[in-house]
Amino acid sequence: MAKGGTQTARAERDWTLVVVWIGIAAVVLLVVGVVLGRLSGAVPHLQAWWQAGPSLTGLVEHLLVNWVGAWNWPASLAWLRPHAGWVAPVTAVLAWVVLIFLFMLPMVTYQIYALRKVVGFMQARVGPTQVGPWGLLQTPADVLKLLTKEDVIPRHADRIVFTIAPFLVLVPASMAYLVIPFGNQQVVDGKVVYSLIGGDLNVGLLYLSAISSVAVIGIIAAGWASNNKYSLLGGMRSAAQLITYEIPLTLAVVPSILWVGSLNLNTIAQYQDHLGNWLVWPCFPGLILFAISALSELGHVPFDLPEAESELVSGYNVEYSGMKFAMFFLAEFSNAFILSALGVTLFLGGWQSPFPESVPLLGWDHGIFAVGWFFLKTLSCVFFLFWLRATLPRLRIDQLMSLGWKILIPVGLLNVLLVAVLRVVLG
Amino acid sequence: MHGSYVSVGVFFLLGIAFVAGTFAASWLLRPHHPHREKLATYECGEKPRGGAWVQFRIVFYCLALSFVVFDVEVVYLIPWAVGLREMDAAGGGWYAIGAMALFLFILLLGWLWELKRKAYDWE
Repeated sequence: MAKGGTQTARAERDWTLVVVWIGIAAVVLLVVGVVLGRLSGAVPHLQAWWQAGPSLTGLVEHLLVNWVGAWNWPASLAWLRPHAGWVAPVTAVLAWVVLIFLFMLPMVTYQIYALRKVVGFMQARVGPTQVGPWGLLQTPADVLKLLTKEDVIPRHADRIVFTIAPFLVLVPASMAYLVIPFGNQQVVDGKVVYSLIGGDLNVGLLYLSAISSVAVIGIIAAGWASNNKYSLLGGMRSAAQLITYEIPLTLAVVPSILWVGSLNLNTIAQYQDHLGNWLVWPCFPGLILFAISALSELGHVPFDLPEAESELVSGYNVEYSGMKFAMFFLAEFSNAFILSALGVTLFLGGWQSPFPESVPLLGWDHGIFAVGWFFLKTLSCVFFLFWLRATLPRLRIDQLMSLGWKILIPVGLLNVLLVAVLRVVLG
Repeated sequence: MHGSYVSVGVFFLLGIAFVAGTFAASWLLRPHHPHREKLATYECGEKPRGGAWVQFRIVFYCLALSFVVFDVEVVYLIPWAVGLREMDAAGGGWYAIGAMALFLFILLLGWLWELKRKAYDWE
């Protein structure tokens, strides 16, 4: 009897569930129908957008302002009606979402995978193989694992500074993507037809160097707030290294600035329109200087003293765990990409093809082809970093400091003057 | 798009929102089992002795001071570098280079003095 009773109850519950599911399905279908009906109105606007040239600005303008803005908005909601003033901020939001979620996150995740594979093969190992085909899902799995890890804040740590430090490191890293020219942009009569740059600032390079120096504060904060001797030592060393090599890094980009006469990164990329105009020729010492300082800024081999597993355990992030640790890691690999992209833009022609325009396919560098060249060059630089990691030993801190202060800074200053003389002589 | 600095502000705010959002998601997903031993400062398994907030080597402070000097100098170099072509076109190219060389020479004297006082030697 009791058994029969539970069966009846279960059957009733099943029927209730069916009714509920049908109800939910009906509501969903209704919503989808209404939305589709509404969206069909967008088709002519989408066509207009495509014909005018597919830019983010145009998308916002055609869909949000011309279409949604033209709906019958009730008077009470009129203040929400999209208008022309929305274009700039909404475009910026879209650009951020595209750059971070389409470029930075997948890029960084697979950079780590590529590093493990490349260094693995160089050391006669195979790298990750277990998760997914060829281990391809290894790094996404690692990210998920870190997301679900317990977050430990040591008892004696300064909780507030401890939590703010990852922000100070990752936010500048994600802001740096704004000015990187992934490709050209076309402006007709002051209107952007298409653009492959998040925000085309005319002080792009200055912005980039200003933004990237904020991370030093985050690293000192992380090292100090942990209240751990290894962290403090690691943080101080990292900070000393970062500020020492920031000067040669900025000195290395000055020749490119004075050769082109602009701080706008896309103007610098546009200037290098054929192989003979690439800035690597007049600014070759600058490229060497840039490469050395960038390696040091990244805390990369042979300058990986901040990490120094054998002496400092792991540097300023010893006490960090879970997602907070992941933020430092993410920022490190994101900066490797940014600095490679910057080196490519300043010295190696940016998104320009090395072949003349007349060569079919290989010579094309308009629209999406420019993005292809940009990634080919930048990822080659990133590969170069991995290669170094498998090749070189680590410097001592006194060697690091003398190299920075006694050699790179005077060489950098001399290089600036020499390139300036060359520029004036050539006219 | 020239001079559109709205995007800088948006990137800043969304960057913060991204980190905060990830932390919030992680807070919802992760376990919370604090334990006295787990929250102790890590010192390779030994019992931690004292804090880390102690007086620190002066070398780092000296380096930071030198850094400020050179960084300000770089800030001065950048507008000069941007304007050099224009100055050259106006006929003042050599004058501009001479002025910068003089400025860098004075800086070089300071650098030599610091070198002589062994400010850049790490012991």
